[in-house]
Parts: sequence; structure tokens; C-alpha cells
Amino acid sequence: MKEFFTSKKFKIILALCALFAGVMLYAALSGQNGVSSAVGAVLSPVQRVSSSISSWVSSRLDMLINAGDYYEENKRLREELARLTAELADYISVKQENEQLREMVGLAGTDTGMEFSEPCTVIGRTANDLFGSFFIDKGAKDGISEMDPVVTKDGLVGFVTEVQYTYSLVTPIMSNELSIGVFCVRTGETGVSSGSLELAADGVFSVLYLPLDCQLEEGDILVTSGYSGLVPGGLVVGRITSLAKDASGLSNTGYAAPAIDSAGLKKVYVIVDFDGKGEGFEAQE
Amino acid sequence: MRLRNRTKGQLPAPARLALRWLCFFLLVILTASCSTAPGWDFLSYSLIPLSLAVAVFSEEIPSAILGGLAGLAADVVMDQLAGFTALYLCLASGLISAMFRQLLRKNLIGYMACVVILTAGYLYADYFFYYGIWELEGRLIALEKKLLPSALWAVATAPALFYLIRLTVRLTETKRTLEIEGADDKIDRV
Repeated sequence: MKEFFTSKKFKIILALCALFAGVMLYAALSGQNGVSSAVGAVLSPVQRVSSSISSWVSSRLDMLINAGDYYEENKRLREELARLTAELADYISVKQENEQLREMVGLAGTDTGMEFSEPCTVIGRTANDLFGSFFIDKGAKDGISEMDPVVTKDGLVGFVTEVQYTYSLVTPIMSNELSIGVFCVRTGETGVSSGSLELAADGVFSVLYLPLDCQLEEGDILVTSGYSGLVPGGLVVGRITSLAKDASGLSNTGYAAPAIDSAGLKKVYVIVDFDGKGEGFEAQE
Repeated sequence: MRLRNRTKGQLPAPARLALRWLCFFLLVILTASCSTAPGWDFLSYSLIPLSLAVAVFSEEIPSAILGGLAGLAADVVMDQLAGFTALYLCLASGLISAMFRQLLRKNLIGYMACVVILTAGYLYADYFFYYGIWELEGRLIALEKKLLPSALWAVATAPALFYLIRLTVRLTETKRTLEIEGADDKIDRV
């Protein structure tokens, strides 16, 4: 065995290790990596197939195992639907009044000029990630760039945090890497979203810097403020689940569940451009 | 008696070798891709016993190369710094291959001892560099819910991978046969 360490083979192995160390250094310093891009391009087609098969098997097993739960949930949702239908009548009259007020004051439309990518398929999830980040089948060649918001029709999912040529990595809003300005639709109070591993395990994220006298209640809807220039305003982010006084005693901290459960996503859209992109506080800094 | 390297109908030795390494490579790709399927992320650490099983039955340099490639695939699917796992597996596979060629017997016990030690080492490195040094809140939750189950699954499935790789090697081995030439009647037998 001692001879092995002085042999040519060991020196070649050390050279290979040096090569991989160089790849690691390059990836760390440049933030981009053609090697990852190439490996991902090979893995993507197989990921897509294995993801489809796994989803199909999981859905069949889920139907069998959880039939009772689905029956109860169906009953509960029917009752909620009846309640919401009654509220809809009020909503329509308020909306009409709002439109009339807009005409009177001469407000511009709320269209933020969003430009969407082609529908992106979720081809796989990052292994061993509590935040639930996932890969999509669109990359730099499709016009995706870093920190583009990712949405579905129900609201904001997260942001693109890594872009390769043929695929991208999306990090959900619950991640500790992301923070955005949010405000409550009902009360207008603002805060900053923040995630952690502990909260992600419970499926929530925190909303920091809420005023001590905030009027938020459980169920209040949070939307993006749009002030950062990273994401258009008005996208649904989540719902408040609870409130607590911050450790400093100077503000309140809210806890919110994301509007979208990233674990069940199959298709998403990336907002590649919108009015006011890059013009927020971060851009000015 | 004459020794032939293969019987008629068998693939030539280089083709068998190429087929063997193609099987190993496809197994690495399949394992890495399946670990990104929903609910299957516990497979991410299975690339470690897979690379080590290949190293047990192969030469040092090819094992190190496959280990490095498997490590790169693991880095991509786990969203880690490219080269982190590649460096670890390249060195580990090369050394394990040398150990099994020179010191150890190619049996399950020695292989499992190496798998347990190297998986534990990788688990520690993963936890330390991605959670520990940053002192992330809830890092023990990540260890309990994600990293430890993956490591335990990798160790649990290692025997199956060992026998699968051994079977692949045996099926793609060059078979040697003996041919006995016809007796020459003119030779006097004593």
C-alpha cells in the first residue's frame, strides 16, 4: 500500500482532485459554472421523466390512503364556498364603486406591464432542502435572469436564484436567502418577509417590523409592495397565521403561510420584465 | 490444451469494458435524477455507496473519475458548490479502490465499513460547511429531517448496490474457456 502513494496512479488521482478543487474555486469566485450547466443539461431530461413517474405514483397512492381526509375536506370546502358566494355579492358592489371612484379621481390602470416567460415545467426538487427549492426547464437561453420573480395564477412562488443555460433553480419565498417588502391588503400595514429553517419546517415565514399597534388578524392576505424593484406590486404572497411581539419589544412579528405550496407545483411562470424593474430601494443603493 | 480468451459469440474485451462503464455511468445519472423527484430526495447520499461499490471492483483511476463525476452530479442536485462532493468522492473512490486491490478482500463487510465511515464523514462535512459554520437557525432540524435520513438510507441500501455492481462486473467479465485439442493417435502412450 505504501508503494501506491508514491506511484503514478496516486499522482494522477491527486491531479484529478486538484481539477475538482479548481472547479470548486471557480464556482465559488465567479458565481457561474459551466460545469454545473453541462451536468444539469445531462440530468434534466432524466429528471423530467423521474419527476413525472414519481408524481403519478404519489397521486395514486395518495388517493387510496387519504380518501377519508379528502371527503372531510370536500365537505368543509362546500360550506366555505357557500359563505364566499354570499360575500361575492358585496365584493361586486364594492368593485363597481371603486371603478367609479377611479374614473372620478383619474387614477391610471394598475397594469404593471408584466412580461411572462413561456410556461416552465418543474423538473425536479433540490435534494435535502427544507425550503423546497426546485428546478425548472427554462434557463438563460429562454430569457430567464437571476432574481426574476416566479409566479402562478395564485400568487408569488419565489425567485430565480441560479440560472444555467438550459435550466434554473427557483428558491421559494420561505427561504432565508430572500426578503421582500409586503403589505396587508385589508389594513395597509407593511412589513418585510423573512425565512428560516425552523419556520420552514412548520411551513411558514415571518413578517418583520410590524408596528406595535398593528391591526393584522389571522387570515389577512399579504401582497408584495413593489417598492424594492425586484417584484411587481400586488402579487399575493401569503396569509397571516399568527402574531407575536418581537423579542426587542419595539415591533410585532407576524407569521404567514405562503399562498403557494411549492411541493405540489408542476408549472410556473417567470416574470422576465415589468414596469419599474430595478428602480426600487435596492437599485438605488 | 489451449486457453482462449472468449468463446464464439461473446463481445470482445474492450466492448465489454465499455458496456460495464456505460452501465455505471447510467446508474449514476439515474440515481442523481431520481433524487430530485418529489419525495425521493433521500436518494441524494446514495451516490456515495454507489461510487464506492464501483471502486471496490475497478481500478484506481477510472474509479476516481467516476467518483468525481458522481460528486458533480450530487453537487448539482443538492444545489451545493460544484466540486465540493466531486473532490470528496474522487479522492475517496481512488483510495478505496487501491485499498481493495492491495489490502482488503472484496467482500461486503469491508465495503460496508468503508461506506459507514465515508458517509458519516460526508454527513459531517455537509452539515458543517452548509449549516454549522453559518450558525443557521434550525440547523438541527435540517440535520434531523433531511441529512440524517439520507445518510441512513444510503447505508441501508449499500448492500444492494454492492451486489448490483458485482453482478454487473461478472456479467461483463471476459470469460475464459479451455479447449482440449484432439488426441494425436501417433503418439505412443506409456
